Amino acid sequence: MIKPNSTADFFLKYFRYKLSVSKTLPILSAILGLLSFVQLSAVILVKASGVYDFGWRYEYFTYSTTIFCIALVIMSFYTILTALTSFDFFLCKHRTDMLGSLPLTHSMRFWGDFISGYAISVLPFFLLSAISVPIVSAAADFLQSQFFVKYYFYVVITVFFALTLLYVIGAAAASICGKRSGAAACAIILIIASIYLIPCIAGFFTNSITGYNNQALYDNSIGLTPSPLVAFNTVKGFFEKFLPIDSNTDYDAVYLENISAVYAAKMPNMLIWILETIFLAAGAFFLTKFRKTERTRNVFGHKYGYYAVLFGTVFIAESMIFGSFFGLMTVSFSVNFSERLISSAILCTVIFLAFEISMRRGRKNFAKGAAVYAGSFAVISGFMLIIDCTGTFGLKYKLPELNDIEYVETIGIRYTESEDIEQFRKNHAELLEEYGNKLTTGGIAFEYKLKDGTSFIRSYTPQYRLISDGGEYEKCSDAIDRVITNVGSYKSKNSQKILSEGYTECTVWLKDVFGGITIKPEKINEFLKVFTDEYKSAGDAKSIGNIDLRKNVVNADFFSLNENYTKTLEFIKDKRNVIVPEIDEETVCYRIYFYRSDYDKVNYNLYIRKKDLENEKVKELISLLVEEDEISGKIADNIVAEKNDSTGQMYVLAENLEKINRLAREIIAEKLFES
Amino acid sequence: MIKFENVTKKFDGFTALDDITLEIPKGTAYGLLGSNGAGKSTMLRLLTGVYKADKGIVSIDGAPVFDNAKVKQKLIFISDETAQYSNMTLNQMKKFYKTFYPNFSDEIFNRLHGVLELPLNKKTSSFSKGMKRQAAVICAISARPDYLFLDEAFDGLDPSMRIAVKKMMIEAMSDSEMTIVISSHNLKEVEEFCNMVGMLHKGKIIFTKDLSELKGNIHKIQASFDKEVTKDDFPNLDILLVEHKAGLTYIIAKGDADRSLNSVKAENPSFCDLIPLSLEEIFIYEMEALGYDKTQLDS
Repeated sequence: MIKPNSTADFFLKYFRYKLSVSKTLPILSAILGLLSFVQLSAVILVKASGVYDFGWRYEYFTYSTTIFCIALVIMSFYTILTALTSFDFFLCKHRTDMLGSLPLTHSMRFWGDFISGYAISVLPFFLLSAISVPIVSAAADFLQSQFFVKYYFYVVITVFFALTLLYVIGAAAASICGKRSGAAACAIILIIASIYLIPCIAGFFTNSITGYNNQALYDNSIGLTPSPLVAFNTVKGFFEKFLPIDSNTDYDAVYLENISAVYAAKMPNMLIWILETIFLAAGAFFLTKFRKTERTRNVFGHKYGYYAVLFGTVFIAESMIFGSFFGLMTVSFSVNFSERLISSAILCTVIFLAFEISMRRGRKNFAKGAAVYAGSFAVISGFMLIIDCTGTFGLKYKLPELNDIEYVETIGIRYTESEDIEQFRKNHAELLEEYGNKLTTGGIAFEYKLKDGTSFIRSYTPQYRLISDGGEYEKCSDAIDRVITNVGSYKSKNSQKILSEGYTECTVWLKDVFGGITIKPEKINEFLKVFTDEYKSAGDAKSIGNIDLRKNVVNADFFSLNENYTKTLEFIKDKRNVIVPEIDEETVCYRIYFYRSDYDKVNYNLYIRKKDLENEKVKELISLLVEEDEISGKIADNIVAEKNDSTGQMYVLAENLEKINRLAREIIAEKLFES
Repeated sequence: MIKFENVTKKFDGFTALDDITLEIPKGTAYGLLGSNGAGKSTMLRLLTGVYKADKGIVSIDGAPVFDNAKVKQKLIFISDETAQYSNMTLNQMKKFYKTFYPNFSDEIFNRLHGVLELPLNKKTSSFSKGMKRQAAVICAISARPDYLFLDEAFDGLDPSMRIAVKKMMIEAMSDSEMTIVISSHNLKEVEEFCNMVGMLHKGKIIFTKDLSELKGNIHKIQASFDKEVTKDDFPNLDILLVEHKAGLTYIIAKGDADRSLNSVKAENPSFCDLIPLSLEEIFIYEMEALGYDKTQLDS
């Protein structure tokens, strides 16, 4: 029981008052949170449909995803603005007089403002997002709802922490500044600082800052996940995993573990987020405790606030140029220290002048500011010099020393021989030398297992925006592949991999031949043995087709079939080994795939030849096939047709699903065609 | 009791209040006077715990005010900024005061509201400056604080409303021994309402005195002499000023009134009379005596 007129009583009174003056704000947050229901129902609808169902569900999904992501952006702005308004005691003179004389201590007022602002901004959104998961999942009865709940939970948690961090950043900005406009600008600076500084702190605690194997600093997933904005970058990605085009993919843990929202919601990232949130909240508390109330309406809430912000901004600017944090991945060795020093001096001077001009601090204060700026620049440059001497810059271009490497592993191939490791490392270094500045992370990962037990992992993808020329892009992709393939034992290693992969389907696609040749399931291992023997030993030759190896209908590996693979070609020509009858483009007009309902396997194929076109049942069946641009409603997503004279695919409307199955069965039953 | 002990307050190097020491007894109507920038509002903000003193102690009933919720329960501050309640209706303002001030009286509120007839459910942002001030005063008096602080108390009020507000405050003081501290440029209003005044100039307190004592201690004598008299002609008097206007001599003197009049009469004036001084005149003469000239005061 709270004693009347006690400290707790007045705190609660103030808290209730703050809530009562913001009645409409939580409603906005709740409405935005309600969009979770819309979004989740869209995911379920899409998940319940199929691979090629491009009907209204797909459009509903696309719109709801876009709206949900926009809602997140609005929420983040709204959260920061709420924080700034909640702390208007420090930003508006009339509120200072009104609230400053109330029977409250600084702690009561600060936490009253803090908690009430949080309660009206982040909490309604979070609660509605959180309860939408079990409600929508319970309402939907689909196979993988439990799986979905688990992973959407990570998204909700990530968004929750991101919004909390943004709220605290808003509060910290209000505690630093004395004007709303200044606080808004300060919030932006704090978000940028968070993006740049947190990876550094994370790296510092997770590994040595100067070590070339500083995976934490290098890896985007750790580097950026602590920053609040990452949640919004990844939420869309999460939902996109449910797009129809991907719905055939195995939803195993490995697949979704790669979503950074899921990654972000795990330790140690959560720990970093929590620590940052506590640090900023405590900082805001003490900054406001020791600030003078009369500084309200001044740009900065503290006497030396201008100098502190100037120092911080110069530090961030110089760090960006020197690449001490984010730029660890991007700064080239070719730019030396003095060049970077000149660049940062120009950038920082421009920033300083912009500060001075916008603040209109007068001539006397300008001289003072210039002295502080010069001092800051000198100190920070000294710090950069120290970092530079330790060899931290240019992390992107550093590779482990040969003596430190235990083995190298990539795409399931492990190189353990020293010659292979040396060659791989050499290829890797050449790739960086030639394309280093045009690569971004992602794609195939190269993992160096080091003798000290740690791993050094790099993955590369050419950047579209830096390589606009298609030919150049292809060369860059080839150079990435060459790191793996240009190793002596690659072919034998890859052959072992092919044999051990456990492929269940194998189709050979010969160039200029309509349709593929399917290897009989019982002959696949034999075929792979013949193929890999030639693959290892045969020299380079002209490619005449592709070998499509699959574990299921989506996950496919392709290998080139060269004209000098004579034994492999002989194997294919032997009718005892293949399913596909003697069909060629002269005789076949249509090939129709009937998938099983779980889309995992092709149930049966139907080939329609020219001479069969006169058959009434065939005519009726063909009339049910529609081109992609003719689709106006739901389609039967487990039937896909290919027409000989057309490059596009054809579909069957869902309403005709039963009919076409019946016709197909009747046609097969009549043994008119091979299947 | 309100106590200022060697209080100094600076804003970015500018000294707003310089080593102020003063006491205001309980139940007093205290008028804080001074020109613009004298430090009146700063003093009120220090008194109400909005600002923290750089040096010295501001206390009420023996306890420091700043960051002290217990002491602040006893006081209400109505600043010169009328925008503070802009988003509220009078009813919401009432609720606000009721929340934080447990002594709030609905009866007093209804009575005062009945006198001033302000709309209860209209946002105060639509009120005139005077109406906003009235609304704030109604709520503050209804909250029955021990100490009420008003910055530019009568600013924006028309004469009839000034009388009504003053009446309300006087009633509140007699009912509950409320201490009221007001700041104002308007010396006439202060003279009518306060029983104690303090004068601030450039951050320093020039004097703080009981008004009757102040008035009883300074006199203006109007006389007509056939010669031009000077200060030196009245060695026994504490003369602040001797002025000659339109053939008449005006002598401003401190001390006992009868003694001063008799001393002037001893110089054989053809005409001699004691004229009451207004508070405004007292301030001007006191200030001139302290070395401040009139033009400086007006600035």
